Amino acid sequence: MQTWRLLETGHKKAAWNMALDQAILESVVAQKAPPTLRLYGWDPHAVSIGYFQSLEDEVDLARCNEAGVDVVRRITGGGAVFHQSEVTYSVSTRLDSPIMPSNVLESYKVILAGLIKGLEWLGIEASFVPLNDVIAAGKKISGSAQTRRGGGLLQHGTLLMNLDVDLMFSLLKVPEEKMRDKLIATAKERVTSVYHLLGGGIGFNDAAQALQRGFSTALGVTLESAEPTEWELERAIQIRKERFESADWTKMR
Amino acid sequence: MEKIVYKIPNGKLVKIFLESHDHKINSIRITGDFFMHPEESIIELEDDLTGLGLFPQYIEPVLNLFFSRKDIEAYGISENGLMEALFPERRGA
Repeated sequence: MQTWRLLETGHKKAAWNMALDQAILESVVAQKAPPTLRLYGWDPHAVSIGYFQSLEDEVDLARCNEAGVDVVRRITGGGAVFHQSEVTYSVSTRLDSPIMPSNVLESYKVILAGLIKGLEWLGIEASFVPLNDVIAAGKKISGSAQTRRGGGLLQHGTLLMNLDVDLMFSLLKVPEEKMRDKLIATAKERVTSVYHLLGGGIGFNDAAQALQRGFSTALGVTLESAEPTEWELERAIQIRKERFESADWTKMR
Repeated sequence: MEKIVYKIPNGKLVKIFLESHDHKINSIRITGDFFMHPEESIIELEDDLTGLGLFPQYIEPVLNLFFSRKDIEAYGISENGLMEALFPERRGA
């Protein structure tokens, strides 16, 4: 059985979260660290947009600023996400890992099996919907995004603990203002969360623990708790400054 | 600047920001919630399209060549999807 590293890095700012994910990927690719599962949250709340999205077209920057919400561009594709009440996971592994399929769709499936198993521990039956979603009770409870670079794979994604859809849509741009109410109603019909399915009583730590068990079981790996290495922390500081805190990067598209 | 918004059937929503003059592409930015590995290759595609005449016979071969590349994997975006976005007469065909 392979041993993977488990990093629980707490609730941090958006730029740091994204920088640390990238630093961990680089570290794992260079075999400075074993394959890694990281669990984390966002403080303050944040909007992340996909690599290919237009910042100005997707995000109401003035409202985010007023609400004290961070805005960050990810290195992964996919859509805009409001990170409020969730457990975020990231998996970093080399592509030559024996348990990771080279096919992108298959690798989403393998990794998300861990999240689905974790939800099972919480008593929620969930299933994978290609390419990158997990649904429970017919509604989306998790979205993920993957990038591959330098012979490695980084996949990060959310497990929704709760979601304030009204607040989310006040931070994101909608095509037409008169569509806002309809979009909010549609999102409420299509998105669910741990809170909505189980009620209160399950906190971040409970869900994070369930995810650890889920990933360990589904991937067939032993998880060993650790801290980010000095190299990773130094590299993350550098990436944060050069990329995720840089307006050139955030406003790139 | 023209903004084209198009939901690719069985794909993602693309938003293309296009500047053209006399049917020639001066600049193009393809945005949306799709996936492409490696991500930076979208810039190569945009560069390849810039300067071309905005006609299917010029655009299609470039898109075909790009999406056939073995080193690029795309999800939610495709040659056909972009052709339909850029040339509405291709939609629903």
